[in-house]
Amino acid sequence: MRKNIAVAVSLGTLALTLGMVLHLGGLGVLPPRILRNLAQVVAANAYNPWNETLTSYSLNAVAAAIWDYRGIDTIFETAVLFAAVTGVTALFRGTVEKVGLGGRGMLFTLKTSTKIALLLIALVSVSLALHGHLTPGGGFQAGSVFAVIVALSITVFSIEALYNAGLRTKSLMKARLVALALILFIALLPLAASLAINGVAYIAQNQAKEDSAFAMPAAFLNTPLAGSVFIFNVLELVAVAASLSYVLILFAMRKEELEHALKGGGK
Amino acid sequence: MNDLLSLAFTTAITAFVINIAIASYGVFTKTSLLKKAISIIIFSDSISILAIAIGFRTTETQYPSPPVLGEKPRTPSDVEAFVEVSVDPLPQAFVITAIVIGLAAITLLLGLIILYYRHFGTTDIRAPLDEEYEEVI
Repeated sequence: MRKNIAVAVSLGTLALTLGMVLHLGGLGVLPPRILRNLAQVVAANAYNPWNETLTSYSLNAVAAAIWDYRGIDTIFETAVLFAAVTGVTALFRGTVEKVGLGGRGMLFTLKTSTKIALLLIALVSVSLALHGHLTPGGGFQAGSVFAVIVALSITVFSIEALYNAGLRTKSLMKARLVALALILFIALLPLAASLAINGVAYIAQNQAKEDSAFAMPAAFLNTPLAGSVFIFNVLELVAVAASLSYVLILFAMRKEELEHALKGGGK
Repeated sequence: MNDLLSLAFTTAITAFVINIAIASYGVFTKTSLLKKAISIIIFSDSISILAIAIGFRTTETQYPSPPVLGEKPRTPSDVEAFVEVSVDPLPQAFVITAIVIGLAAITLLLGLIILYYRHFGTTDIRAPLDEEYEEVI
């Protein structure tokens, strides 16, 4: 009990100190009147046909920062998620998917209304990814929304229904691998192009630079496409949706399926 | 108008900082692993929302706008007008990275907690101390 009070007092001090630092301008004047310099560059160049070597043709400045100006960072971030899910696979090694353990799900009315909701969720998710460069959204957000479908289905229809619908962890694993491989392929595509035309190109390059003419498609039928930003958003949707669905199915597994894993897994 | 906005902003920032302290209290003192995990999630989300709040800005005449262009700019002055009212896009870009990596860590943590629960039948952190247990995981 006394320990808890000590923790509470020290954390109160921490909060007070943090508040003082922010109040005294430790992070600059908050909120600022003008944009910071780096942010000005990003906001001014996100969609700027008058500065062709720096623009990414993306109306959404955040998507431009994520997949163009800081593209390598985001590719590695996807790799971190991939590694974490591989870690979960290692923890749950030895699980067996068993059909026929029972599980009828919830009431009929709930099931029907959930089916309608699932359709809407899928629509929202796909539009978040396809419009990630035009409106607020992006690949990761879309993938998280898509994983909600699996979470809701497990709760309402039971995991058994998912198995019967043909959803297996193995196929999700494959989808995830293919999506990550394609992300890497798109990131390295400019290099292959530069070899072909014997010029200069950069990893994860989107639009033409000063010394490199390689450019991804900037527009499709007069709609801004933002080149690789659009492609990366769609692939990220697949990668994140497959990863999270995979993890959710593993987490929802019944005792009988986990038996072997709890004894140490392996063979 | 801006005075009211500044006051609301300061209140929000204070709330986030206090939230960080409360969440870390949960991490340090709760004995249930699940409650610890929930506290960690609240902790990281408070920091994320604090970072986004730091990207907020005020403008001279208009309300600040999200960092998304409403339509394709027709002249260079459209872009300049956007820079005049847009909030900082970079904290939002960094935070989405932080969220993904936080999610990766939380996923692994929850997997461990589920196996812990299946093994001991409880998520209490003191379970291994109470009785003899077989070390198989």
